[in-house]
Amino acid sequence: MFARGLQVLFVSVFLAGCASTVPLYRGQVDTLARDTRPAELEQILGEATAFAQADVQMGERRYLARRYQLQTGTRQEMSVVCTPTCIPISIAVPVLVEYVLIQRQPGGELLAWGTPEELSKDADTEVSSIMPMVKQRLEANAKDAAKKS
Amino acid sequence: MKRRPLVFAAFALGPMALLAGCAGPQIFHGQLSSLDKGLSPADVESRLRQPPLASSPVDLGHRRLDVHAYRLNNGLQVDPYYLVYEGSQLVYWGYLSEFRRQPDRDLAEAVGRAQGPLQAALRK
Repeated sequence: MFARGLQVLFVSVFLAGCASTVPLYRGQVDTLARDTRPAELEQILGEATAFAQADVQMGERRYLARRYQLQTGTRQEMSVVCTPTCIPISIAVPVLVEYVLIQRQPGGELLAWGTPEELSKDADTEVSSIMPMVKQRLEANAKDAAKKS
Repeated sequence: MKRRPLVFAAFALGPMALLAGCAGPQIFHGQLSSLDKGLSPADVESRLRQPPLASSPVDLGHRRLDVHAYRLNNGLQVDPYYLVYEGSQLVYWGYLSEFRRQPDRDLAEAVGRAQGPLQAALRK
């Protein structure tokens, strides 16, 4: 029984080690506000991995957009591990959604944050009008990054 | 012995009936991030890869809006989903609850008025 427990623990730790990227969590997003300063923003984002970023110019205005993955929850998946005895183990798989943060440049004031869908239909026209370009640039940069890696 | 064909039919038809419930034109959450304000109905149809199930013009007096209805499969169930155009440009999209909490009251009013005429098409 003790040996099985060790096996499960080993496999869980091994699988956890596979996570090479860090998502954003609700707790972090909930602390964001329009008046969050750039340094404070970086502190809140912490180790979260930006999957892509893009500089966007719209007329005279410049923006920095960054794409993250927000973890909204987890779902359980069953798997069977044989080492060599086969045992079923339950793995918590994160549920992730794409999440975008946009800052005005060069000052870095936080302009908007949300899913691409939320931002595309935002009541603030400054936000909704830059979203087609933001989505296009982020997608292109993400593809480039994937090719390089 | 005679019951066997009946049992077999029940097993065969049960999943088919369930699948039939999922059939019909639907859009999925992943498609929504492709929408942008200002798109024409043709652009939207191209991005969603299907026309709306129904549409209804709404005249509010000071504004004329067009409400298009789709069915959105959110993974658990299929719900009505609305897109509103003004002057053939997409101005907002969402569930009814999203229209109610966004700041432009005319949009919520338009969807509210269009719901009746659109219901029959959404139920099909």
